[in-house]
Amino acid sequence: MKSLFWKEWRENLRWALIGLVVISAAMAYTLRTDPNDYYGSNREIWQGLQSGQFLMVTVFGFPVIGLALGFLQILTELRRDQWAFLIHRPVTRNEIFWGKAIPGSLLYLVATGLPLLATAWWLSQPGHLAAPFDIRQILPGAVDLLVGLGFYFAALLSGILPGPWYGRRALPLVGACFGTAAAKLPEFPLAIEGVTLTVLVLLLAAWAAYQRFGLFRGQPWWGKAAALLSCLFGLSVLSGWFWVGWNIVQPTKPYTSTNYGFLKSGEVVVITSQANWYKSVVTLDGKEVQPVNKASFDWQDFLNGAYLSIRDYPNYDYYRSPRSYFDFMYVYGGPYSWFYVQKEKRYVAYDRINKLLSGYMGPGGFATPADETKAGHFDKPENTRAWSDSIIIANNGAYVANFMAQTVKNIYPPAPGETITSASQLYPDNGSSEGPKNYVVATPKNLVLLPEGKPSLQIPEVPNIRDYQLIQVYQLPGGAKYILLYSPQNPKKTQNLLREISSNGVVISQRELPNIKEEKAGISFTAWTRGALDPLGARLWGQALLGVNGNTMSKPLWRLAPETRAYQLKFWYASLAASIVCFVLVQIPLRRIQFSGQRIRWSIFVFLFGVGGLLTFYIVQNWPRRVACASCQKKRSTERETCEHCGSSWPAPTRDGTEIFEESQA
Amino acid sequence: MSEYVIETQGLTRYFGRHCVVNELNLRVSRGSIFGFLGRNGAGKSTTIRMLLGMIEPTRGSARMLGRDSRELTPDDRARIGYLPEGHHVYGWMTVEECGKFQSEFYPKWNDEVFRAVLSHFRLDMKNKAGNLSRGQRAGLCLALVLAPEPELLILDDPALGLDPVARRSLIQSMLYVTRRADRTILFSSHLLSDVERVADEICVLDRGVLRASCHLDTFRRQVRQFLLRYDGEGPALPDLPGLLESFRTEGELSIIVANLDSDGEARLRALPVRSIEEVPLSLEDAFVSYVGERGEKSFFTKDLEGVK
Repeated sequence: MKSLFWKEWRENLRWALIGLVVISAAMAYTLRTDPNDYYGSNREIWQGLQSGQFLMVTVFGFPVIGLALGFLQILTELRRDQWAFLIHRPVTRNEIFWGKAIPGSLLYLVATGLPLLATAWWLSQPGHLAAPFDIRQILPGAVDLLVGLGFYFAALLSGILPGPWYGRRALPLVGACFGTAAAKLPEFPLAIEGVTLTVLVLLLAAWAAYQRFGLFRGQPWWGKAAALLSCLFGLSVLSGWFWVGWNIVQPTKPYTSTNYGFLKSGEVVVITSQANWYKSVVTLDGKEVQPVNKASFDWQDFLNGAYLSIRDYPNYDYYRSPRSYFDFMYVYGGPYSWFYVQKEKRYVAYDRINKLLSGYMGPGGFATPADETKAGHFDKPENTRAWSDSIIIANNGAYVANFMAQTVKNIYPPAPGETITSASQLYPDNGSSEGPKNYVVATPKNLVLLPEGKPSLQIPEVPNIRDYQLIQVYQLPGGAKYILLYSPQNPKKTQNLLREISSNGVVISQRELPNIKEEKAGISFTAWTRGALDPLGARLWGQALLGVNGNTMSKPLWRLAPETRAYQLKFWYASLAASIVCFVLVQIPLRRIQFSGQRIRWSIFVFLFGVGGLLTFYIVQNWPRRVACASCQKKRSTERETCEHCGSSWPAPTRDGTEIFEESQA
Repeated sequence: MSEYVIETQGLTRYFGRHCVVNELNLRVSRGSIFGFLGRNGAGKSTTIRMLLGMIEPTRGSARMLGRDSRELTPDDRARIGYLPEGHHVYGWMTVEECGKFQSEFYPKWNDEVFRAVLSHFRLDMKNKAGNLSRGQRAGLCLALVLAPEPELLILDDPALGLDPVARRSLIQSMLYVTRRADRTILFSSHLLSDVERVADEICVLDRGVLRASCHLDTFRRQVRQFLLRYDGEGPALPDLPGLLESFRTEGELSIIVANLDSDGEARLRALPVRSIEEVPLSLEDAFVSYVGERGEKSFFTKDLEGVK
C-alpha cells in the first residue's frame, strides 16, 4: 500500500499545490484592508476569519478543491486499460480505496488546511488587522474544511458508480451539499454533527462502493446504509433547490404588518406597513390620518421607541459570526476601531493606521496597554455580549461608554439584590443625536427612567409585570411625558398595556389596548406538499437531535406550545400519508424474486423515508435486464440460471454445424 | 491441481439490452499457449475482464487457478499476470520507477527478468515512460508483467499497433515465459500470423458465442477449402452442412467448409465439374471465412458490363 500512497501523492501533488496557491490568493484578497474605509466596502474586514468574503472562499473554494482532487484522482484512472492496470495487482480492493483516499485527503488538507492555518497565524500576529483575534474564529473555516472533505469523497464515489452522470452518479455530489447546509446551522454542535454525518456517510459509501466497483448488491450492510443515506441526502438537497426555485417563480405577496405606534403628539395610532412602506395610519376610533404636506408618512412622523425586556433571554450566538467573541462598535470618527471583547470583559481599541492594540476601556476608564490594569473589567459573566454599542449591563450597573471622550459612566448602580435585564438610550424627540441623553433601564420588576441632569424616576410597578415580554418607551417632545407600551407574553391571556407617565414619574393614565390580530393564512397546497415530502424518518431523526441537543433555538415537538404543536402535527400527518402511499407502491417491485428475503427491510425503509425512500429504492438497485422466457414467454431475469416462472434454464446458443470443438469439449 | 487453469461455465454478460458474451463454456489447459480469437466486439476483452474479476458476469461463473474469479485474493492475482490492451503505464514515472513501483506488490519479483526484457526492447532505465514509443511501451508493460513470473499470463491484444519488429520481440518474450512447462498464456489477437507462430490451442468467439475451441491443428484440419473448375454454367451448390462461404466466378467455384465429413466430401466430389482440388488455407484465411459473412458470393465480369 505504501507504493500506492507514493504513486497517488506524486501524481496529484501538483494539483494540490495549484489549489493551495489559488485558495491562498483568494484568502489574501479577502483580507486586504483600507484604513480609510472601515465603514465602507470592506466594513466587515474586522471579522477576519469570519468575514463574509473570507467565508465565501471557504464555503465555495474548499468544496471545489475537494471535488477537483477527487475527480482528478479517479476519472483520469477510470479509462479501461488504466483502471485494469491499477486494480489487477496483489492488493485488496480496500487497499486500492485507502491507497487513493488517504493521500487524496492529505493533499486536500494541504491545499486547504495550510492556507487556513497560515491565515489564522497571520491574523493572530499584532499589526495585521485592527481587530481582536480569537482562535475560535477558525471554527467556521474548519467546518467548511470538513464539508470540502465530504465533496472529495463524493467525487470518489461518483466516479466509481455506474450509470449516467445526470442520474445516480450526480446524487452523491448533490448529497455533499447537505454538509454545506448543515454547516450553516447556527449552533456549532448541530453544525459539526450534521457535517460529520455527511462526511462519514460519503466516506463509507465510497469505501463500500470500491469494494464492489460501484455495485450496490453485495456491499456490506454499512456500505448499503451509507449508499442509501447519500442518496437521501442528495434527494433532500434537490428538493430544497426545487422549493427555492418554486418560491422564486411564485408571485410573492408583499409582507404586511400592523402595529401600534405614536404620532409626535403622543396619540396612539395603528400603523399598517406593507413591504416596508407605510400603508395606512388609523386612530383608535378608526379615523385614517393623512400625512401633512407630503405624499406618504416616513419614520420621522412617529415617535421612536426604546425597546426593553424585563427578562434575561439566553444569548444564541451564531458560531459563524465573530459576535460570539467580540463586537464591533460603530464609532464614527477618531483614530481607533473599538470592540467589546467578551473574554476581556471590556472595550478594546485598535489603531486603524498601524493596526496595533492601542488601549482598553473598562469601568476604570481608558488605559493604554502599558497600564491596562487601570481600565479594569466590567463585573459581568464571561462570554456575554455588551448590551448595545455604547451600553454595557454588568452586575454592578449599567455603563454608558463615550468612545470619543474615552470615558465610561455607571448610569444606574442597582440596589443590593437587584439585577438589570436591559437598558437603552431614549431617542431624542427631534431625531438628532444632539440634546440631553436620557436612558431607561429595566429590572425584572420595573423600569427606571434616567433623564440627563435630573433625578431618576422609578416607574410605578405593574403587578402582573411577568405577563409582559417587551416594553417600548417613548419620550414626548421636550420631555413633558413618557409613553410606555407593554407587549404581552401571551396575547391570548393578556392585552397590551398603555401607560402615560409624567416628567416627575406619576402615572397620568393607564389603559389596555386590544391585541392586534395577525391575519392567519391557511396552509397552502405548496406547504402541504412540502410537509408530505419531508420524510417521516427525517422528522423523527430531527426530533431526536433536538432532544439530545437541548440548548438550541429550535424545540422538539413535545416542548412546543400546544397551538404550535397542533399546527406542526398537520405536517406530520401529511408525511405519514405519503409514507403509507409509498409503502403500498413499493410492494409492486418487491414482488420480484430478486427481493426475496429483503421485502420487510425495504418496506420499512420506504415507509420511513416516504417519497425520497421510494426514489432511493429505485435509484440504488442494479436492475437486471429482463427478457422473454423461451418456454413460458414471461419476462425473466437475465441474472438467474433458471426462469423464476417456469423453472426452465437458458437455451444453449444455437449451432449451425460449423462449430469446432475437441472431442473432449464437444 | 486441476488440469485447467481457466474454466468457465455458462458465462454470460449483458451490457444494457445487448448480450455481449453468451453462455461461454471454456477450458484452458495448464501449460498451453491459448489464442483467444474473434472480431472486434466479439466479447474477448469483456470475457477477459470477467475472468479477472474486474466486471461481474450477469450469470454463470468462471474459475481461475481453481478459484471463483469474483473472489480472487491478492495471492491469486500475484500468480496471474495481465497485460491490458493499450499498454498503459504511468507516463510521469521513469522506466526504473515503473519497475520499482510494480516490484513492491510482488513478493516473487524477478529483477533479472525485468532487466532482460527491457534490454530486449532496448529500453533506458532513466527514460520517462511517457516519452516511450508504442513498441517500447509494450516492452515495458511486458517486462512489468513477466518479472513477477506469473503462472498464468493473460494478454489482451498485446500486439495491437506494434510494428513487425516489436511484435516479434513480444512473441519471443512470451515464449520465454513458457520455458517452464506449467506456465500458461492466454492471449487475444487479431494477428493470425502471430497466433499461428505461438499458439497451440485456440478458441473463436463470434458475437459473444463460442464457435470453436480446439488445438490449432484441429482448427486447420477442420476448415477446408475446395476449388471446383467447370465449363458453362456450373453445378448448383449441394446442401453441405458446415458451409462457411462459397465464391463463384467464371468457370470456378471456391468453397470453404467446416467439419466436412466423408458423406459431404463424397457429395462434393460427385458434382459434374471438370476438376476438384483441395486448396490449403492459411489460418488467417480460415479465420476470416469462419467469422466473416457467410453464404454464397459471386463475381462475374459480365456484371461489370454497362458500368461506366
